[in-house]
Amino acid sequence: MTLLERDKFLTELNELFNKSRTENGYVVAISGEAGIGKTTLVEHFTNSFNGHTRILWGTCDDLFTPRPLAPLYDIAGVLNSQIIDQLDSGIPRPSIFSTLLKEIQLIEPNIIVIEDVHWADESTLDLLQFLGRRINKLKTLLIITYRDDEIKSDHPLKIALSNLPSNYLKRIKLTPLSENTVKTLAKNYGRENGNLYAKTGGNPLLVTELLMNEEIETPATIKELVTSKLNRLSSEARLAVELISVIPGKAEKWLIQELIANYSLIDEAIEFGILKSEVDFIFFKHELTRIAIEESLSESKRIILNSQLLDILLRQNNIDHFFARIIHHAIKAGNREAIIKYAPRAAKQASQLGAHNQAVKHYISALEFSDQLTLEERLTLLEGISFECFLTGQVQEAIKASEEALKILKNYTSPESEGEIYRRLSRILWYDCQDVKGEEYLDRAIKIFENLPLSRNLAMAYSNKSQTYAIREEYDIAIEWGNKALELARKLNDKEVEVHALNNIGCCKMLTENESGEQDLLKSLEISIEKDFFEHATRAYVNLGSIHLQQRNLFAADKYFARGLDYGNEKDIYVFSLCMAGHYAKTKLQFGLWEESIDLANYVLKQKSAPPGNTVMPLNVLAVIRARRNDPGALKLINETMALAFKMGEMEKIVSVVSAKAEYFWLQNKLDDFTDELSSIYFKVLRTNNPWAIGEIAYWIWKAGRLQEIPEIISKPYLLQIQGKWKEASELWNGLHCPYEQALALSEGDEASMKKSIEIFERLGASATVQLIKQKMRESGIKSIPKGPRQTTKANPSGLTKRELEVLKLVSHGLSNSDIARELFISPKTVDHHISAVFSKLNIHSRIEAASYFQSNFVTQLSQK
Amino acid sequence: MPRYVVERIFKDGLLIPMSPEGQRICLGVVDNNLEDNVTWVHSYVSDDKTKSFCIYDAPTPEAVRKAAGRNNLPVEKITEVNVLDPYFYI
Repeated sequence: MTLLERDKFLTELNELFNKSRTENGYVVAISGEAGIGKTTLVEHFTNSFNGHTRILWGTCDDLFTPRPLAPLYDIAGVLNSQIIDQLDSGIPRPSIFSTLLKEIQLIEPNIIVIEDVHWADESTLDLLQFLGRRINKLKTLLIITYRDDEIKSDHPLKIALSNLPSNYLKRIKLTPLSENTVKTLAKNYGRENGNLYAKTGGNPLLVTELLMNEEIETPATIKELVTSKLNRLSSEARLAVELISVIPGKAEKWLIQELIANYSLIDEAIEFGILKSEVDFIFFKHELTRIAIEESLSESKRIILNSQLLDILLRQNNIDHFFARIIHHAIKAGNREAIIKYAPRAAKQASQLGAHNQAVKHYISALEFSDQLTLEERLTLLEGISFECFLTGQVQEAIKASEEALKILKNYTSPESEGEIYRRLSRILWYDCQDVKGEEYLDRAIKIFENLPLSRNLAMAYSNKSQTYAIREEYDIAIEWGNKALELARKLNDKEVEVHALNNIGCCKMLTENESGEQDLLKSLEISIEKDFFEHATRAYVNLGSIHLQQRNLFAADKYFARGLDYGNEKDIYVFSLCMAGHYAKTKLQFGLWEESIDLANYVLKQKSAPPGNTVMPLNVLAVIRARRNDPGALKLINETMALAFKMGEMEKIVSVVSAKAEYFWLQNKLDDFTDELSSIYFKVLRTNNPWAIGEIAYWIWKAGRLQEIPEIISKPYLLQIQGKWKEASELWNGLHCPYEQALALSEGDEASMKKSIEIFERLGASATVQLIKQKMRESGIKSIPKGPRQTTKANPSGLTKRELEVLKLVSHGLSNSDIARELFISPKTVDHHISAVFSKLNIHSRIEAASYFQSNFVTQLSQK
Repeated sequence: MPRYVVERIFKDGLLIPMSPEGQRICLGVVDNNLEDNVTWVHSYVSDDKTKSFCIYDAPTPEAVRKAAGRNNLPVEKITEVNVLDPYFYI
């Protein structure tokens, strides 16, 4: 069989596979409407390997709530590996993904196909990103197919695709057949009068089916096609097909054998080109056909058929493999008992496999019958919803579910549940910036637990209490609560609460310059990594990094953030990674690496599910950069983040945003307007005893000329600046690798140092700061003020770099590649690379064209130089 | 999407010939902008060709600068603007 108008796509796939095999892997995303021929194309491509290359094929199915990791089950079945055991045993998902990775690398190259990812569950999308982010290390081509007309812009698949590294992602959008091809086809079949193209829009499925069905002349719909095809089957075979049509995706042969006694009916349907058969499966030649048949069933028939299937599935021994399918058929059959019984189990399984959105959906399916549930059952469902919603960043929904659960508890006494709901809700409320209410709930939880036998819940509540005080920078009390939690955790031998408490204690000690703090945190990290407490491990990285950042140990901060993000990436831990990336952005800002800082900030802000608390740092970073560059929108961002930071009450964030606002007003030369607000905040900051926080705010008050006395606790560089020792301060900042702060100190010095500061500010791109310092120089009577910024990048819209321009010049002088290599002291290969870059940027194809381009566009410019 | 006026200074003058090459350069800029989701609407260039006022649609000022960096174009100042139509009031 040859495919029409698909040659260029096949060539592209072959090229990509060759690259994947010899250089590094690629992800190919093939999209197009239903019936456009995505599967056909991929089958055609993979068939050409004829057993030479390992092909791993997985499919997502159209269940009411998709089965978590359905394609991985398919692939694992082919690999014949331990993955299925791991999936069933409930070991953490990161370990399963790692096993898969190892299995893939065992035999290379591979082609992995994941079909219909528009239906994928959350966990499969995570798998896609997991593989996608490592694809350049594999000799594997990963092909995914999806219907682009079914995904809106906020579809999780869109977000997942945007998270894949764009260098290794190729998109192929399949187009309908052209009018000419359709006309030729119609002619070959003697059907030129039917205006086939207008009827089908060139959709290959419709075209083929119409050509095969001579009797249809009216405008084609899939339904009509299907009916006409079904009419040609015997009535028994037709019934069999209808029965199979209620099974989404591929149906196992053993299942079919249980459903249909006479297997020859299936053969009949296969002969008529309706069904297809694979080793262990029977499925429809096209999913559209299946849906059309299913939709044509009468209500009563649909219920009967789905009930039949449900009965068979419920009889299986390994019932936990079928939860999602059981729910699907139970919903379609309207079987409430089955939904109530199995939806919570399906939800638990989905959650365990990381498909939290699907877990929520299962819980909600069961909750719909709340009038038939006991209070205890409703409570379980609500708690489940709250937990899963929180994990997927749906904070409002999580709060709603928990509050609903608390209402139920008024009529049903269970102090354990009540305490635990209060405790968890207090954490969720904190994420929603409602920490006053959150703390009230936490106190209620502690009170309840203290009246019960000693439990890990109580230990955890103590540790949460410690966390609350730590965030508010009341470190001594935080350490007290932390020790209480630690003691109880060790008594109960509960490692998880132990690492949580150690983490809090370590942070507080580090923040009060107690040497042993970092050791506590590292200990917490070590246990967490060993025990696979992924979230606690990432939390330890976050805290180690952000405390070092606060204390301006930028290299240490950089080290922990880089490692932490790697760890989070490797284990695919989303929680805390955003928080980490936001702080990492701030670290880069302090290092003076603004572009990197912007990229990290945008990475966080791009995530639609980022909780508001995690956006403060990245927005703050953008605000500061805008203010310094004199770019629009700085004040808007500052006010936005300020509202958030105050709502959260976290001192670290408050100091960051307040300092940004002060700097903005200073740059606008109207710091006076902000000093009242600044002073009232300063009063609060003083109570934290945090030398860096105090220093940062005291500095701006000093800049405004309103600092009455130097605070007792204050970090060294700020102290020196306030004392007028700008030179020593600038040296300290230089030693801390904070160029902007170094330049600020220099700008407070004599004429020469002010000029030096302008150089640094210009290098950083801080044009607002440059303007202000120049104005100050003029005001103090300095005559020789540096002129505008020296343009380092020459205006050169052709986009050539300096080196490429040099190469172009030599090419136009007729030099060969090896001559150019000698001239520029680079390798001939590099010359080759530059030349192809020049050709592609200028869209030229020969050396002669290059020479003439250079003559007409650059000679005048260069001669002026 | 917000609209921005981007002021650029070209010390040696902005040299884009009215030729197929010039067209290629401009389209190259347009292509490069796509990566940052930035649209160059049009520009006003001073008579001596040393200053241009470029109208851009872009998600953020950072995106405008990134696109400028990609195109080796200088940025003097970015201002967020709205359209005012004088004939609207008539």
